[in-house]
Amino acid sequence: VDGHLPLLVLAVLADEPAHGYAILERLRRRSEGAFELQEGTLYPLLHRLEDDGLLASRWTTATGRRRREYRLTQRGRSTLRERTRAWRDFATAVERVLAVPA
Amino acid sequence: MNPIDDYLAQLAPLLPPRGRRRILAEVEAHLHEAAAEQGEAEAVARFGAARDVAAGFVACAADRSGRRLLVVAASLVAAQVLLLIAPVVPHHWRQAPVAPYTRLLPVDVYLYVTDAHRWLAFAAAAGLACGAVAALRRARLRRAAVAVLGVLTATLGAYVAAGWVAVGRFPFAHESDVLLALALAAPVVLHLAARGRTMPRLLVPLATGVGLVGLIGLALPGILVRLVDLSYADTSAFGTAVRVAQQAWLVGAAAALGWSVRDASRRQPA
Repeated sequence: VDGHLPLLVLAVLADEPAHGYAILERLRRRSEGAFELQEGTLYPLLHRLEDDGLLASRWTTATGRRRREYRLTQRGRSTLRERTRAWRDFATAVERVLAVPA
Repeated sequence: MNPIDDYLAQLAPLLPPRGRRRILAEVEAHLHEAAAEQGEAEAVARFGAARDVAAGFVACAADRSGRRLLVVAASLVAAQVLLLIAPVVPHHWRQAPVAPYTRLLPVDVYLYVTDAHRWLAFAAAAGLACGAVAALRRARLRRAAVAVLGVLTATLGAYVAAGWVAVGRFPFAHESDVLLALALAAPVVLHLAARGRTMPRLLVPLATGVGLVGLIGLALPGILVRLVDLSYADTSAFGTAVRVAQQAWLVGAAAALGWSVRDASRRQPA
């Protein structure tokens, strides 16, 4: 899942902002448990996406706890659209190849 | 010490200094949230080894400083190219006014001092671009850094060749100009030969070496000379403006040089 993690993170942030733990929860839930990540690998990725201008972040406080919340930027949103389209094209092509009887 | 504090104490010294506090706060918040459901020991285990997590942040920081170096290197190249096409602009740009003390120096040293400014930005830009090549993990940005080196090499080569054609000898009699041009050409040729595939393995030690030689051997003495060189004879408004611009430029180059050396000496995680 490593190579596709940026796309997956952008996708789970598309609806609403979230902090790191919630992003992992969403990934787990939406993949029905298929993506079990080493949780610490998420944070360098979030920082990288922020450096690239695809995410923005700010500190928030909920139930007395301080968290860093990430949200998609405009650029992140258009990157998500492009990468989703590219992924679907790729998946469709693979499906076509696999559909040919051996 | 509980498992979370223990983990944070392990992680802290492995992180890049810039942004360390934010990273630790984020990790701590995550671990406490996870611990509420799974217990502290399990939360720490699921987070991953401190060394692996830190490696991700170090790589991220290296990319960030590589990008900064690339921007500074590109600006230095632009500034130096402007200086090299200076025959069409006033005399001051072609030969910077020098401090009176330099006239007391032996003639060879005097010639070096009066001419050194011509190559200061080249050497600094070379070092910075090489530092950027060494720091950047992304192929596209690394190609941009190599392109900066390519522009440097081509301009320097054209300048030396033009002097050769016009005068029949290397115009400024500095073998170091030719050596610098060859040294800069090497990473570019390697990059082209490797077509980007094996470039990092081939280029990183070479680029770092060239950068450090360029910076320490050529730029640093030149920068020191220019920073000391505060008492110019020319007090006209234009002369003063040139002087101020030069000093600001060189102070910036010296600061960037510090970054470059730091980044070049920092090991990349595997």
